[in-house]
Amino acid sequence: MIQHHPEPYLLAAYAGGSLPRGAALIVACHLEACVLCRQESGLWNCAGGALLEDVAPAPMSAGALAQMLARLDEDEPQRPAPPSFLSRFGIPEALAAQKIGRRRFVTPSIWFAPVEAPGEVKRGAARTYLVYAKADTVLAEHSHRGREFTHVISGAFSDGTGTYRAGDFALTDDTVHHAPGVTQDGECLCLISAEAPMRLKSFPARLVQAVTGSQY
Amino acid sequence: MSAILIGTGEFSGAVWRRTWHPRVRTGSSPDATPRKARILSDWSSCLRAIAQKRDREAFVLLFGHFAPRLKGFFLRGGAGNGLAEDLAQETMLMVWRKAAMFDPERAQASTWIFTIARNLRIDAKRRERDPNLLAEFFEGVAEPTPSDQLVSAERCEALHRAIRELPPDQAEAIRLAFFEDRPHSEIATALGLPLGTVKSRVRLAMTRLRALVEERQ
Ligand SMILES: [Zn+2]
Repeated sequence: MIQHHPEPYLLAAYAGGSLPRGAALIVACHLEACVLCRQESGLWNCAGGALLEDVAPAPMSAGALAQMLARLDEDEPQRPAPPSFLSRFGIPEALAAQKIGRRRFVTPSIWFAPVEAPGEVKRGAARTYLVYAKADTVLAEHSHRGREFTHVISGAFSDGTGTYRAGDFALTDDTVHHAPGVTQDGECLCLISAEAPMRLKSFPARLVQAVTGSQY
Repeated sequence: MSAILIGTGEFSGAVWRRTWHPRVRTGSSPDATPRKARILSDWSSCLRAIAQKRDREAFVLLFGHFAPRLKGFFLRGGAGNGLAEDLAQETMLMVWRKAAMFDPERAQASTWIFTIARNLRIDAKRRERDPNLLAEFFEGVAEPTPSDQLVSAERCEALHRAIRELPPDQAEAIRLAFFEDRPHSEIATALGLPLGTVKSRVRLAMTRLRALVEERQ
């Protein structure tokens, strides 16, 4: 039973395309899991369709149609297969369509994997990533720079604000200080997108600190 | 795939945001409903013809109707002319490729096409922040997913009618939520309203839409 949902204004912003890409991906994953929010955003999509019908049309350039027809026979780009380390999890369609980078173990019980175009990863900044942790792992108390969107793919974690289970949506901002912990009953896989880029170089260190319990 | 896009030069710096125009008005455009469209009776039939027979004629009809509207949508979101046109083309290419995913029982053609355009807009914004990512332009997030189709075509039609009957301030709240590519906090500043008021207007508009749809069933 899903208990944590995005607020209505976030669903409207998602439907209109004004959420950042990572946040939009998190909401899309939630929608696949949550029939309630799907109904709500379905109405927004309809509203979008109506507004598309009513928007002032802008004439396409003279050669646009010919150019378009010439492209219809182009090969369709193939979507990359999700990496094998995810095969035992049922991952949302919206996530399966993304490029998922190599996973990196921080400790034997924690790994993360960037969900981002390679260019962004290369420069050492990832805004969107998968985090996996085994049962009973507790992260150190920390706060956030900017907003952080989370979708629980599998398992559960708890912090002071509640317990988040598979399908749940979580939004934290810089007012939240928490020490999320994976519940005892199993592992936890989350998709996270942060507004402020996460530096990959410091990320493992941060998690190691987190795992060992030191403050930062 | 992105050759056309690179050719436009629209993607330098923060063009997408800075050229934001609150009221993009374009000249009149040829917008007569084509005869075959009326014979096919609706855009859903065109999509079905594309899915089943790769019907190019049906595609040309759809393109004639939707491409200028899509361009209008992207312009209103703040894209420059060249980028708006490219995004309209990309949307239509996706329509051609994914037509089999369209389920006329579960969505209206305009709604389905809108969700594709919306996803492309989300992707385009990211590329705009980082021009080095051009080579990988339209990938991933733009694919339509099953979660984008849930409201029945009839319910959706009722909603379309309802939107056209909304009081102006509520209609504006919906338009803001959709077309203005700005965070709610910026919209609040632009309107001189507290953020909470903007959020509650969006919420109010949603409640009103839902009620209108239910009244009609
Ligand atoms: Zn929900």
